[in-house]
Amino acid sequence: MKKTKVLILGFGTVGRGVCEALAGGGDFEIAGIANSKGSVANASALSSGELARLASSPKGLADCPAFKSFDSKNDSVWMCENSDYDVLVELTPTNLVEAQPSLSHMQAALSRGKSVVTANKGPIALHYYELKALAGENNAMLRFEATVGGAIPVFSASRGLVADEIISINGILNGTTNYILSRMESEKMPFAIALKEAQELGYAERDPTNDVEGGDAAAKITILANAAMDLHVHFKDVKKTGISRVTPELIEFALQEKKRVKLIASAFRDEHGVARAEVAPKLVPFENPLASISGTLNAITLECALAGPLTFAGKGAGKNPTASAVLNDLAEIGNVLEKTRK
Amino acid sequence: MKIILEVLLKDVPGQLMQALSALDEASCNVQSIVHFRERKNKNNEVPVQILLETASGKQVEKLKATLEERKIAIGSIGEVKTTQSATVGIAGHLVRTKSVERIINELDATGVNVSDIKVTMPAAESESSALVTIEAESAEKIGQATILLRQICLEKNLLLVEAL
Repeated sequence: MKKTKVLILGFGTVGRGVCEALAGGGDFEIAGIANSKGSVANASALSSGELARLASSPKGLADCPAFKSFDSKNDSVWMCENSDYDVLVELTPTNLVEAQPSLSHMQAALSRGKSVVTANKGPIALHYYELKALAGENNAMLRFEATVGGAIPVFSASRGLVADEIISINGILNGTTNYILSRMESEKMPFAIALKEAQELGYAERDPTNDVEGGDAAAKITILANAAMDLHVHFKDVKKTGISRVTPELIEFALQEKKRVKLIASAFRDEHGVARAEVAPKLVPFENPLASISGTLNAITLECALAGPLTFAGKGAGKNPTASAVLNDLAEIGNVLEKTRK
Repeated sequence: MKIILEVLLKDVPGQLMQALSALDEASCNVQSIVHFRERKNKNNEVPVQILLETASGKQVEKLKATLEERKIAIGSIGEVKTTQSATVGIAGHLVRTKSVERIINELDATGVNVSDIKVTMPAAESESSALVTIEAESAEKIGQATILLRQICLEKNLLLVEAL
């Protein structure tokens, strides 16, 4: 049986996790690996032991004797345009402004009819419809399960709801803010102290703005709104209210009324039929499953026309949960490619 | 306004038509009719409950007069009060900006009642937190009140935490 050749771009925590899992053999073969500095072009020549060693090496990819530094920053795009592979696994660091270099990598792969799996929010939040069209024109697949809710298979579930309609989505999509709100509730601590604790534990970044002011959740709800509901929402139009002004007193008042304060990302059509997406702290009644999601967990409720509410919960970040989502996407594409080869 | 009317109708043909024509004359919109045959009294009268909508109290008076003219006995008549409620959280300088009074007064002016309000200010000059429960006769009014609360909070730089 011919193996599916995978080109992995990005060798951070998730890239290493994926590499480690694929090194074990199976239906996949790693055709190439690259990070921002350089690449190992002929990775299929590496033994599984060597791949596993690289995945846990502090020096990373540069620790491989076959590692070759890039001459120019466009070399990674060149790899996507010219290497021999079937699926691009795009895991490079990116942002929510230009979404580069990830966007160029994906465009280069999809233009050649190569399918793409990514955990990168930037390109999907900013250019979903463009990438979807490019994939369609070139008979390629685009999968991005890991971009929202970590290991939660929400896009897979939404694709499965073919005979039903998703009317609205509400979710706890940012583990950092959910951790902070949970600690503010359990310890009655002010926001600033809970944030500091989250930073010390590595749950919050040194500059926590994107998490606490709702930017990260806004990107995720944009992806959900477009990919699961086809709402044509623009990331820049998502109304964001963060949690930095939530007080422990307000949380305590809410508890007395059997409600919890949660940062909720929502996508829906308003009473005039206009597509909306927003992120804001909300009072969630205890009987709503989202109220019981504590710590860094994520949860998503799909409100369906026939099925009613379907709630999924799970780890929203981390090496293994994210790798799980990436590998499931990869397996799905691998199955399709396998059938096409027959 | 919604009115629930109970009339006592003789259990003979044509009685309901008479009652309904009185409702029509008073321009009332009938929403439902329920016969309570099990409560038929010794005078062979069946209580019939009619849920109707009228634009004003004047129409109700006219309806009563018309029913009396036609000798249709009124068992009871009264307005149906429906209550919708919502709870929101607010944080910020509620006290310094005198926002509590403003919220109560402005909501009151739109027919929305602030049924409960809890406010705390942990220290002098610090930001305060409040939990506000509002009540109104319809979900539409609650929606309008929420829009008003959003405006006030935006203007006064307060955080509004709405219900999911």
